Amino acid sequence: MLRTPLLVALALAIAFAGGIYSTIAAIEADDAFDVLAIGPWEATPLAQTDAANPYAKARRARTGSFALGQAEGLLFRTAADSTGARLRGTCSYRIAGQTPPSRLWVMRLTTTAGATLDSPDIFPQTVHSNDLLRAPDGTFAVRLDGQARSGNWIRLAHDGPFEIEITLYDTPAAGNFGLIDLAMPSVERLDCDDA
Amino acid sequence: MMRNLLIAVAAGLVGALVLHIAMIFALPFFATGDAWSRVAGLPLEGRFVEAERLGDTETAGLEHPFTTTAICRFEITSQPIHLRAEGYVPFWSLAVFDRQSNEVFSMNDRTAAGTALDVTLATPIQMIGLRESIPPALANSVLVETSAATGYILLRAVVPDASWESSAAAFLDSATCAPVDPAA
Repeated sequence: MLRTPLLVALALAIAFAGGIYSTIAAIEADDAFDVLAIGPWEATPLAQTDAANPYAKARRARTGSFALGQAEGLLFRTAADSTGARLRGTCSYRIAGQTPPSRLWVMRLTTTAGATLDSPDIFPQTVHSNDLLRAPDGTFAVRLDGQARSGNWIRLAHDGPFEIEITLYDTPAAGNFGLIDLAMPSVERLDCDDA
Repeated sequence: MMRNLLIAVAAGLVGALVLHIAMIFALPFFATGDAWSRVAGLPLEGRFVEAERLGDTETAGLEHPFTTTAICRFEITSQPIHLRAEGYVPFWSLAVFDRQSNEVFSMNDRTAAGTALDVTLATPIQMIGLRESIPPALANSVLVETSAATGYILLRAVVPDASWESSAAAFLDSATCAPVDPAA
């Protein structure tokens, strides 16, 4: 009779297909554990340590990435604006507020894979905290726009989704889970070319 | 018949779960594209080399705007290593990782004595010897004990604008990670 071998084959097929698919999906998804989330911004301060969860360890083994150590800094990323809508390269945005205390921070725009967005060299592609116009109270606002803007401006002209990355160097936020009230800037969508 | 089918599907799902857990835990030990495999080809010459030597750096966390990174592979099974760098940069930071890319130690210029980098990396057994009689060359060194016999070290310097480039390059060029003779 063929019934028993067929059932065994079905069980094995489900086991391998399901096991492999769920593993790949779990690694490619964003980390769901040990995330430090402030508004839309997310950081994983433990991802490079021995205390990282097994998924974070598997993820860094597969991607081969080199993380920032705890005394070096902390990297915040967001793929959404403050309302939770996906960031789109054809829109313009205003990033306003303040960052957690740090010696220096750098903001850049990246693809969803983490590479810096392509932009001709003559346009500003990054902003760093030592080269920034601030309001008298220390807050700042950065415009992401395809058109040149006064004030702090990063050129945004990209087809499709993108992410914003802020790297804080030497920050107490890296060793902090709720001890200090951390603030990150808000991300507000202004208008879209195709709207 | 129906009952057997359900049992087969349930067994498959349990198998998928077991496989999922096994793969997640095994990946760090079998991955071929992890950070250590990329670093493993670097020579053990006691110097930091530019991170560009590792090939594609763009998405690997090595290419941050306004920073330059140097990297050193280390092995401390026989001798401790002494990390040194001198120069003037607005910010530098050091991170030591074991071969599973777990952070062993990290520091930056504000947590260093003075502004120069002076760290000694030793195994627990070597550390006993160092504490008994510290060589004069290591007198001011930050002693870091680690059970990781092999791993890699990243040294980053921040370059806020082009005028700092030569200064940062000089700092990273001066960086060494050479073995020290604990008896010397």
